[in-house]
Amino acid sequence: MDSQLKKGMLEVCVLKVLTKGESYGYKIISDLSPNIEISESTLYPILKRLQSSGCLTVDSREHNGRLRKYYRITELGFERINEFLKDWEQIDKIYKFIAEVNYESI
Amino acid sequence: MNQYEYLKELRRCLSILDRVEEDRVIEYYAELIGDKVELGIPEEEVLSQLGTPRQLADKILAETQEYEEPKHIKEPEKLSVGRIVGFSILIPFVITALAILYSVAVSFVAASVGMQLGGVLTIIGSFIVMFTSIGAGICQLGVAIFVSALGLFAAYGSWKFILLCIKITQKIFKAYVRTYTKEA
Repeated sequence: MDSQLKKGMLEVCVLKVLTKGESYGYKIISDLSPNIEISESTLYPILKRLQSSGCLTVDSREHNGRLRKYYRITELGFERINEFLKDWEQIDKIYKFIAEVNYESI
Repeated sequence: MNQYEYLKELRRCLSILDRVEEDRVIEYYAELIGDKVELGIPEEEVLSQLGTPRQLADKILAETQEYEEPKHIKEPEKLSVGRIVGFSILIPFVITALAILYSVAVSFVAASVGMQLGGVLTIIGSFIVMFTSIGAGICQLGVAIFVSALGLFAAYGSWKFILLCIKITQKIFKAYVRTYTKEA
């Protein structure tokens, strides 16, 4: 898959995980893992991009004597998910168009 | 290697990033490693899953560039040569400045010692004066106590000042080590 496309979709996946409640790095990866393949090094820039686009907020808290960053989705994040779902309807139409057998080429 | 050595090595491999970004990345991985270890995964396995620090750094740097954030990557040419030359030229000035700082600290200490010593001697002396004139003796006692108290404040102040000097020296030293070793 086109890597930029994949990263865009992974961003929405991460946001989706956060709709269930705030989370942190390792938990996000393990919540996504069974269905969606994402490595630690892939997640980091995704979280950064989501933060700089305002789709999530970060909050550092202490956990067992070390610092943990907790991520929380924002209104903008929810909008982003909705945009993706709307876009998907269009993508589905395009897919159906492209996947259709082209009788002229037979 | 343990996670601290790993992260230290990773940090070294990420030296091309600016300090803020470098810190953020290290915090992220430190947290991840900590979480996995807390869940019972042996530290060795966690680290081997990440690959060598060099391999991980390469991945991180590739992602940084992909996201078109060149602002986090320091411009190598400008920084290394300029920084080394600049830092080297500053050495005699830095030494002079530190010398002045420390001599001020020493004079603070001397002043406080002098005041306290003088104060104590004057206190003793005031009792002797009291034999001649109670009024004068008490007056002297009062002044002596005041000077001693001032001396104590000065002692406290010079102690704090010396700690500050040491901290400044450490910071300068670290900055030099960073400059010469990072750019090497």
